[in-house]
Amino acid sequence: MNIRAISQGGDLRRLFLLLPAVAIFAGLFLMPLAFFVVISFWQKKSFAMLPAFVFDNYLRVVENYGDVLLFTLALALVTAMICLIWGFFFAYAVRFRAGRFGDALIVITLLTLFGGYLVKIYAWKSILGSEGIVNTGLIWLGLIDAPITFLIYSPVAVVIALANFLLPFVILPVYASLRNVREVTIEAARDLGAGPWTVIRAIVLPQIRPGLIAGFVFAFLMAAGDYVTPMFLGGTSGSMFGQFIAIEFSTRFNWPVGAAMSLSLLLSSLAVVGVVSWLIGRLRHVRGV
Amino acid sequence: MPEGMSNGNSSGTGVPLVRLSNVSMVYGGVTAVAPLDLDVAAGAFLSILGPSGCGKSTLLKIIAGFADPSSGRVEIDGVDVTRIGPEKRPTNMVFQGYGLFPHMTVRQNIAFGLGIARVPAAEARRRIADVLELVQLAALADRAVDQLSGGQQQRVALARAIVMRPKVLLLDEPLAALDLKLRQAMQEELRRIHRQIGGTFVFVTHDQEEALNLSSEIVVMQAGRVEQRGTPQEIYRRPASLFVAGFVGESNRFSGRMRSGRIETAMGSFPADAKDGAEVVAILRPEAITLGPVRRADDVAVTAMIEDVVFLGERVKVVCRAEDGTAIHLRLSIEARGQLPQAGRSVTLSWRAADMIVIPESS
Ligand SMILES: Nc1ncnc2c1ncn2[C@@H]1O[C@H](COP(=O)(O)OP(=O)(O)OP(=O)(O)O)[C@@H](O)[C@H]1O
Ligand SMILES: [Mg+2]
Repeated sequence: MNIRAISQGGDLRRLFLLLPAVAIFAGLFLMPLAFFVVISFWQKKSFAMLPAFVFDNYLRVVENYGDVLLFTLALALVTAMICLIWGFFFAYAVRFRAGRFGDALIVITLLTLFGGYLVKIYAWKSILGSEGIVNTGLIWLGLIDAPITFLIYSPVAVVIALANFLLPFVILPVYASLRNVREVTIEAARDLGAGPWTVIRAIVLPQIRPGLIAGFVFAFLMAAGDYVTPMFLGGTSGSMFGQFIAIEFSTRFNWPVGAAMSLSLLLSSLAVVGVVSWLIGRLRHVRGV
Repeated sequence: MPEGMSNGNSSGTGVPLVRLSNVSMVYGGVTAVAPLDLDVAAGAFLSILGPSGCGKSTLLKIIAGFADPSSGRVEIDGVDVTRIGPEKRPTNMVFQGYGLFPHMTVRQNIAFGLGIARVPAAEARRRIADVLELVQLAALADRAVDQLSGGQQQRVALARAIVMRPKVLLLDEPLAALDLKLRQAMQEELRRIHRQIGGTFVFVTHDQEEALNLSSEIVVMQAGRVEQRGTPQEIYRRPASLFVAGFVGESNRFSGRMRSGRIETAMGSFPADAKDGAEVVAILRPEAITLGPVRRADDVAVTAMIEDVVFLGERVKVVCRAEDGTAIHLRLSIEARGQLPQAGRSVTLSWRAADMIVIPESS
């Protein structure tokens, strides 16, 4: 057996070892997605789906849900940006300022993930509600006479709760990248005259682009696809696209439109992720001589 | 002269360019630098030499502005900069480990400080070209810095600081990470660059040979204190303490007690200049010893047995043992085809009494 044959045997073996992973990936991710792609072009007659190839469903998405989709993307973008900025400064402080307390802070960040999702939503309900901590506190202090109504059942409430929930998902990848930023590069920049903002903009951020992108992608996709938080905290003004997808699938039993909506959300989210990742990638380019 | 460094306004007036007064640094109870005064003259190549942990880097960071001294005052070119951050000081630093910006090319690294200082583009381009020429990196200007060898990265770090034309260039063990050959080559480079651009260099090292090789002046530190300051010759020939004698160069040590103008050692008694009754150590450099017939009548002479001979190329290292058992190390220079001394032979060793440096035992 020559070396080539051995290496081919090795390749086969490797493929074979990859099979379970490929099977899981195909079965759990690709198949449902392919199924969605197919039925998004089907038609619905009374309560049955008819195989077809029509664009009606996508037309309906644009006509009926176009504004909700844009609103959802905008809300997810705002949430992800808040998480990114807040998460960056937290991770930065942990990495460069907190010293030996840094590890403890990261552990606490991880612990908040165990809190659970619904628990946090209810917590925010009791904080932001008209009888909630914030309103009663402000009234007690005499700063307001009547409860602030836009705190709950509004986009503001959704953004606050989502940002709170998603923050750890941003902190962790950003912190992981920051650990690779050597402190001496920051000292060198200061030595060459850079103030704190220039150090962050020109030296730190460009070095942690992968972490920023990963954090943003996590936060944005999870926010854009969420329908539980807006259901509990969004009221009518804070409804998100996911809620309407759920309605199409469950109440209306209109799977073709539901599939078209899902794919529209997926594709438009990917477009936003693509643009923002590109923008983050451009952080590398520093105004120079 | 491709690139000039500013010497400050005070050059030539006798006022030191850098002046530390009563500066100290305490980290949570640990004294890294004990209160000390230090002046650096304009145009000097001053080395701060000392063992690991003696406070060299801390001292440099105090000058650069990265460390806030626990006490004292830092003046640069007549201006009190004690409370001014590193970004506003007329100093630039070559960091141990370089600290190059990994996401930038060589040119972008060098341009960074000029951009912040808003140096006009045309002038910046010229200065970058000059400094690239000076450190011989012109061909690699547009490489990413992580694609450079250690020595090349070192040059980028140097260029990035020099291009700013600092009043004082601070270098923190810049050559420590390089292998011996490259380190020696870079020492030559540094000497050339200092000659070419002038300016004031403060250079931290724990390598005594490097300090002797480079500096116009050396400050020897130990445990946060200045042990001695002087030219390389003064430090080597007139060490002020046993620590300095031991740290800089090799030395033989003969300890004994002074009695009527002579030091009485186990090996014999020799004329020496110290207080009667004092416990002293006589330091003798290995190259001060002659092997063979006594040359001058008043030389000190002892008989000894050659124990070991090590050939070092242009020199030989000879280890002898005197009759009382004292080991004596010699360095002899030999001619191209000269005979090497032979181990096992009995020889006469002699040296000038004045070449012995007498230091109190307690120092
Ligand atoms: N940030 C700090 N916090 C606490 N102690 C410190 C700090 N920086 C330095 N030290 C201590 O101060 C002393 C001097 O440190 P310094 O870095 O100046 O030594 P050095 O002479 O540069 O040593 P080396 O040759 O190993 O670089 C050491 O004992 C060190 O442990
Ligand atoms: Mg050091």
